[in-house]
Amino acid sequence: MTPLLLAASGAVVVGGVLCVTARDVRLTVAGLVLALIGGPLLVDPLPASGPLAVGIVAGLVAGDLAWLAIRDRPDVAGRGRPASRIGWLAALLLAITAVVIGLALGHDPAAPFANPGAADVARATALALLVLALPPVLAGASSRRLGLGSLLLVVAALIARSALAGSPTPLESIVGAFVEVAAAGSMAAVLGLGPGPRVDSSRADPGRSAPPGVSSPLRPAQTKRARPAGPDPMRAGEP
Amino acid sequence: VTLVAFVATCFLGAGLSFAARRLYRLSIVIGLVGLVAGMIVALFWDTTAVEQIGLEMVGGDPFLRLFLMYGLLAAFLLTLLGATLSARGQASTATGPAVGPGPGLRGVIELPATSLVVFGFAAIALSAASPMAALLAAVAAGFATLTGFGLGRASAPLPRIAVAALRNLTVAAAIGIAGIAALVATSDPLQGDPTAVGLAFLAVGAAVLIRLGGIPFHRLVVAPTVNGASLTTPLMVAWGPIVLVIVAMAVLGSVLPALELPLSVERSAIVALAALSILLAAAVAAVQEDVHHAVAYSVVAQGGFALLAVAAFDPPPWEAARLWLLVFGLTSTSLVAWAVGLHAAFGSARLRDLSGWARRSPVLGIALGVIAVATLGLPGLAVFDARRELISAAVSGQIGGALVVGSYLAVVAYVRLLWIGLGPSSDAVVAARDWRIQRPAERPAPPARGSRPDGTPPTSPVGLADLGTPAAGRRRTAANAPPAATTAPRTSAAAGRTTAAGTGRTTAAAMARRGAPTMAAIAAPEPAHSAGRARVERDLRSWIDANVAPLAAAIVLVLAVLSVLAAAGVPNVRQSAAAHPPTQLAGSPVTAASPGPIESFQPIATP
Repeated sequence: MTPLLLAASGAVVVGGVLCVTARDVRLTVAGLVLALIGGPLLVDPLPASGPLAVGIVAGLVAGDLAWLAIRDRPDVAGRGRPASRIGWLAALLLAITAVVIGLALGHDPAAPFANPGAADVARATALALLVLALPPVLAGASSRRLGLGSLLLVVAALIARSALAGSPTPLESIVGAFVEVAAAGSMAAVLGLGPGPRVDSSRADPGRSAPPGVSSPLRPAQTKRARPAGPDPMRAGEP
Repeated sequence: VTLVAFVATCFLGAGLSFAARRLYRLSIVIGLVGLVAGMIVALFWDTTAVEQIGLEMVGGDPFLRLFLMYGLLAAFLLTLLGATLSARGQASTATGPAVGPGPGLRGVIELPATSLVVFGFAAIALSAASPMAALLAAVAAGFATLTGFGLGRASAPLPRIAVAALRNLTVAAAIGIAGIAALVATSDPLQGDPTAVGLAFLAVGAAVLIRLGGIPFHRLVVAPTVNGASLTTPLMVAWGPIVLVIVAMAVLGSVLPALELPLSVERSAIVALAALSILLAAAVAAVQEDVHHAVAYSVVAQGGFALLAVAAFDPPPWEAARLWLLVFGLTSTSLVAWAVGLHAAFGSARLRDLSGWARRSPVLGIALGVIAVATLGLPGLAVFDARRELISAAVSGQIGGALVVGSYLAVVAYVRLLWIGLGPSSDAVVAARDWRIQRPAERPAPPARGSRPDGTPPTSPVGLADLGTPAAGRRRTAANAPPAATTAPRTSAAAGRTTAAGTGRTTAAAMARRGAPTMAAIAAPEPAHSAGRARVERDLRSWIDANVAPLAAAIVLVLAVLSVLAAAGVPNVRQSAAAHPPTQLAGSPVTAASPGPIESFQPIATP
């Protein structure tokens, strides 16, 4: 276990907590990028410089796509309700608990890893991300949270892959970076970039409403009733 | 030519097509050129070469070359179909609002770029020697299909469908990655814990089940086909999952036999779900009232065979499975194209409105028959044997025999569709465009949808012979001249020349009666500098406009013929599918960070 591994693990967990609990869109995306960039570092030995650079660039591109997708979404605009109902402190405690459980599971001494400690850290981090990502993905309360949770789930799966099968080869690292970008691209396409009407995820959150001018397929905007032609009978006799 | 050249060609074409997305025609043209370039590169791919990228080996495969060429050709034809239908608004009533500056089908612009990206990732997945690299490429291909679908959406229910698809896709990717990583990690017999291996096998099976839209996850396939949602649907429900199935088969076939574990419970669970998908989906397809839903459930039923291929891993039915998967991709594409073409031509996807469609459009009827043959197979066709082999590899005894018989339940849906098509013509069918090839000057104005000639009963037994007579054509034209605001501009060129030729007086009179611009106004002189180019463009558009329906039917028929060719094993599909079966992994190749020989799993042979 090296300091870099611990720092990367901490960054991924904090990024995941920020991603699912932050009120501000910028913080949300920053947390996501932290998790995306920290994920490939959770191996020992570290990947070669080329694949590592590709991974970092992919994390930034995926974060940019996520920003494009959620920056003007109805359930992101403003500083209203936190994204996660349990709050950042509870989410952080939950993630730390998952990390502790993951580390306590230990490792198989026969596992073919260059550094078994790295596998432990990777497994614990993947478990923490899984705990953070699964509720928004499975509960589906908000399309934006579902998209962010999906990205976190993909990162968790990639980290879990390192924990189970050791360091990825260069081609795997590069293809894994492509997976992150493709997942972010599909999230952006589904949530924000398509030509059709936008998703109003505030349906599941009755306390919030879409900003004016945002059309919603799930809750059509109320329109004024058309006034019948001819003189208004209520104003009959008025000059 | 190697993998790098193919992937570079695909991604470059996709990027250029996507960059020109706002320029409707240019984007489609670039995409079509990219698809052709991809086919050419795949054709010259040296399938015997093995190259090393980093520490990974990648290599060609005869089946991979066939898969890419067939897939790119299908995508090319589907794009052509979409472009044809959207050229003059033929499909605008069928598939909702327009994408791009003109009326069009959803997903036309995104289809070539998405196809190129998907087949680029497919090439990586099916040529990498490392199981994890192959799996990650298959996952990336899946996300790329959803990106194309999401970008092409244009009506209210689609965002919810796309969000649900995102959830399913992510869950399938996560459990697939975890399952295969666990299998690869335990591939050494000394480390093969039966419980862990069984759970990993189930995880892989569940990932494949979700991606294929097998029951109970069929909504992933059915929902995107609502109202012919997008032309990218075949990529999402067929070609993307196919890549995942081949990779999963290869990993399971290379890891599990060496462990010598029975895994009977896990295998039974997967086989049961596959059988349920094959039988139940075929039955549901036979009772659907919507063409798109019938097609979707047929696709689900076909996907059940792919799940059977995953369940049979000892030894994997490599040849039958790869052949079936290729046919599955082609027939799914053909079915979606057929449904979109039918919907666009007759303005309805409800079977009660489509009575007599095959009498009006025999080409589409023949296409459906050919697709049915390609799907179900006939004795002597390669796909006929492949279906039986897939079932017998996964299930034995009487249950297997019953499943073989039950799998032909799918024929009921096809027979019903054809039976309805041969029945008396409905209003929508009577009011549809003429399906004969014709010159623009002779083209009558399209009738308004939903109307019918005076005196025609609501369900008129009008046959092709009646529809083809000049008197019938004139009568329909006079009675159903279109509203001026919607159809007059696009018929201007043809109508102008019709008047000049003296054969379209009825059309002109009908248009004038409805307040359309006069022929003199339409035929105003053009500036001299653009006259030649404009004339060529106008003539081409007029011809396409006059022949949209037969052109679309012809494209669908070509797709169907392509499917039946693959089903017959042309060219050398069986031999290619049998090549390079998975080799057994003795250790975990993904941990081989040190230089030296890396064990291959599929599809390249270990040098």
